[in-house]
Amino acid sequence: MTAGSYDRGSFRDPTSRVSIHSGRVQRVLTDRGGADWHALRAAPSYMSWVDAGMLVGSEEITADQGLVLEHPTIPFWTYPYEWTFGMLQEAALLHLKLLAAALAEGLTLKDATPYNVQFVGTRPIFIDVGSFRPLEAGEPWLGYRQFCQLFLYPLLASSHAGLSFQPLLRGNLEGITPGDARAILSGHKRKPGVLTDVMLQARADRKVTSRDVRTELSEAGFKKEMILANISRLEKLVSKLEWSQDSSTWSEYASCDHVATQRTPKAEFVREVAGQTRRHLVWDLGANDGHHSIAVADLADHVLAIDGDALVLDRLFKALRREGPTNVLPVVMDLSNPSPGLGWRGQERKRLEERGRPDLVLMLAVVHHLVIGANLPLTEVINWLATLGSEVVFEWVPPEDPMSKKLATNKRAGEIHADYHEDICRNLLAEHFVVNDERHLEGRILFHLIPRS
Amino acid sequence: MRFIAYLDAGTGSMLVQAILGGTAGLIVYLKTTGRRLFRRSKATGNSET
Repeated sequence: MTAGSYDRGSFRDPTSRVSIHSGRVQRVLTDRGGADWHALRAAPSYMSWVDAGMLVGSEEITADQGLVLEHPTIPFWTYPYEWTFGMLQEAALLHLKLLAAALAEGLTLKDATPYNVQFVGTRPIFIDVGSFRPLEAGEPWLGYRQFCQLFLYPLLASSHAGLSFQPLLRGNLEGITPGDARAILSGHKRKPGVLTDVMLQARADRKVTSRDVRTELSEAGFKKEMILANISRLEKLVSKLEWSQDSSTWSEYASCDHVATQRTPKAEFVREVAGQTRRHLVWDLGANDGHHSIAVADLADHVLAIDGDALVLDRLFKALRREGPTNVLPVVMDLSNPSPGLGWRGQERKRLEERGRPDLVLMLAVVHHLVIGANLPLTEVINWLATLGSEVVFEWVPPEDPMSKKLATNKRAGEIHADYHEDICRNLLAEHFVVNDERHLEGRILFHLIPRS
Repeated sequence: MRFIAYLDAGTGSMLVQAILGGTAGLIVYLKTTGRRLFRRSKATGNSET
């Protein structure tokens, strides 16, 4: 394994680097990283964390590079700026729970980033065993500030100020600074967590000095019980936070007449197609309340319910947590502005397509939103769809459809791309796909497309 | 001139978590503050003599 073959998301940790090759996830540890791993493995509770699904499993393997761990693969990587409020909240609680458990074993977590958590369906799992290390005497929780910036402030901004945290986390991978959190939450000082974790910390930030505070605290008798008291307080704070938004652009979409009447026949067609072979990964683009994601869940190993509306996906996440199925993963993403590569050289956080390809894509009642709503030429949309190399269930929504007309209400003649026409759509589809089946549904057409190559 | 950008911005957060770490944590915070003030006054006293 060479330095260049490491996963770009792990290279910042000098003691523990990850490589992903041929479906195998391996972590190469330095001597320091190896000593920390042995301390973790020796903790009496370690296996119970793995067995409970809180922490990723690890197996030591023999390799030339020294100590190497192999982990199970994560079906599909998502990032905090693609999670719903409930998902970030669950990830925060998992982090606090693991940290408290680690402290009880004389260990600590050296960082506090949600990028150390992944979701397998609706279940969060901590994936970075390299974050654990022995706690030094008198040492404070070094990750507290990072926890605030990447977990707590985004949750507070949503819960108290009604702000969407996803664009803030996507805009800055380090999260929301105490100063920015103060600006966002200054009108909410009486709400939980604002005075203590935001205002106090923003003030402390202004008074930063070159003092060796770590030594000062240690000499003054700082103990892990104080970290535990802080964690317990944060657990209560985070678990009580709610995102109480009543409605959003698409939150009532499922109750629209045309959606209600077409749901059953659409779901039947989707299941017919999906059931033709066992599917590994299905992407449901424009999933809304996840009706079709759930419809195919038993026919696939994993389903991504992708939608730009964080509220409908948050409701979906909570419903899935309560009732299942457990293999559907909500992903908040605007298809007309999908997640780009981010971080150092744009490679630390990957684009959607770089993280795995689906073998079936559902694109139902989406195309008119992209072409009429987001002004993307139809040619662009279908060319992009073809790059995925997957089978597709594609719904054509004609310009004369009531929903297309609604989207075009404020547009003048000639302001809709001229290629938005059924004949052109068929030609474009035929360039890249074989139409295996099609079904007509009140003016709309469902296509089952198979890629040509 | 204070080169704040070169300083560890987590320093303030460490003190904040002592304050938020319950009564015992608050005592630790007060101790660190007291010790600093004591050292500072001692240093000032020395320079005056």
